[in-house]
Amino acid sequence: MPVHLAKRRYLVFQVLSDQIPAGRAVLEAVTDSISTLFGEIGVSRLHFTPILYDEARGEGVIRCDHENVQDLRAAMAFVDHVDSQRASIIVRGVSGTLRAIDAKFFSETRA
Amino acid sequence: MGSIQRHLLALQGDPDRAMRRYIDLGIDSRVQGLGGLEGIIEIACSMGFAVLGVKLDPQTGSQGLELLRGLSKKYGVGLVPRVDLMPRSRTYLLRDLAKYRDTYEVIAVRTASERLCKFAVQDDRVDLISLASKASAGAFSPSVAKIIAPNSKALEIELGSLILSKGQNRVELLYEISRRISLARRFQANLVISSGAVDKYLLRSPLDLVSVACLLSMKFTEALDSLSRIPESIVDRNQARLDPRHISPGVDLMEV
Repeated sequence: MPVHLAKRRYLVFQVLSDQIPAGRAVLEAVTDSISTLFGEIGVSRLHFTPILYDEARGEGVIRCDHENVQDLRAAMAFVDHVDSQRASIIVRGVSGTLRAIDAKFFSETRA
Repeated sequence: MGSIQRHLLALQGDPDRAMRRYIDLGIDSRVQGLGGLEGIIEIACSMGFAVLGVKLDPQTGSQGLELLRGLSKKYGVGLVPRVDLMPRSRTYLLRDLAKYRDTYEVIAVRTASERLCKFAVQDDRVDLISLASKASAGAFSPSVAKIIAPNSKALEIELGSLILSKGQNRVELLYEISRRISLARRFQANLVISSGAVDKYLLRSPLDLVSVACLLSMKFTEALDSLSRIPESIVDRNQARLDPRHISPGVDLMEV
């Protein structure tokens, strides 16, 4: 039986802030922003999942459905506070596989 | 963007995107002063902008222009001095245009008056019509939108104020900006998207700005053009105009 695989996209982001916030606070800020812009239906439609977050560098990877990359990106652009501190979230790149993300953005951290 | 990446984008059927130079004409140095400008420019460069338009306070005079030249060399990015005029009447507008046109590469006019907006659009020395706030809602009417395209002007949409707004304010701004975009599309008026960043936290990468613009009913390629092709044509036109060999549009002094 053919199986329909959901196409996913991985977004690499960086948090700009004076103090790098905790991963939970970043996720909360992104969820709030999506919820404000698109509502709770929107949050579920985007179907996003945090994959990893490096608290030392303020960088992370978030996964979403391939059709909703633009919406997630816009919602992340609307974040102006994280954990009641001025901050912004910049998307550094989008890819279809974690391997490509790893090679492009995280290879230097392992070296 | 490396040459291989450009080639790949071209192969993917998007040669336009492969060759784009992103331009943010809305960096505002007037709030933090010239001291905070370097930090903003450094981050904007790392985001992939090739040219930045920096709003200067005319009172900083040549000091601001000198600083821009220095920073441009240091970071290898094009920095374009810009002034925003907020005239109370036609007389003030004409006076300011005569005063600043030869010094600043981009001149934007902000006004809440439709009559003044029409007047500004018809003046050859004005580049952008910037209607950032809700207060200027009435200024961008169909009759203004109609004359923007034939006069080679552009309407600027600053996304910074939208990002900072909350609640009802944001709802009203979303409505107003979407209305302006649809009016501009109807009359084929040029649009320029800018961040309107007053500090580093309001900077967004080019494709993040495009994503926000797409939310506001712009098409993806339209949004890309508003961040690259259209501002680039404004900057190129004005740089040619400020060249000492330039006489008038289409007439330049050639060396023999």
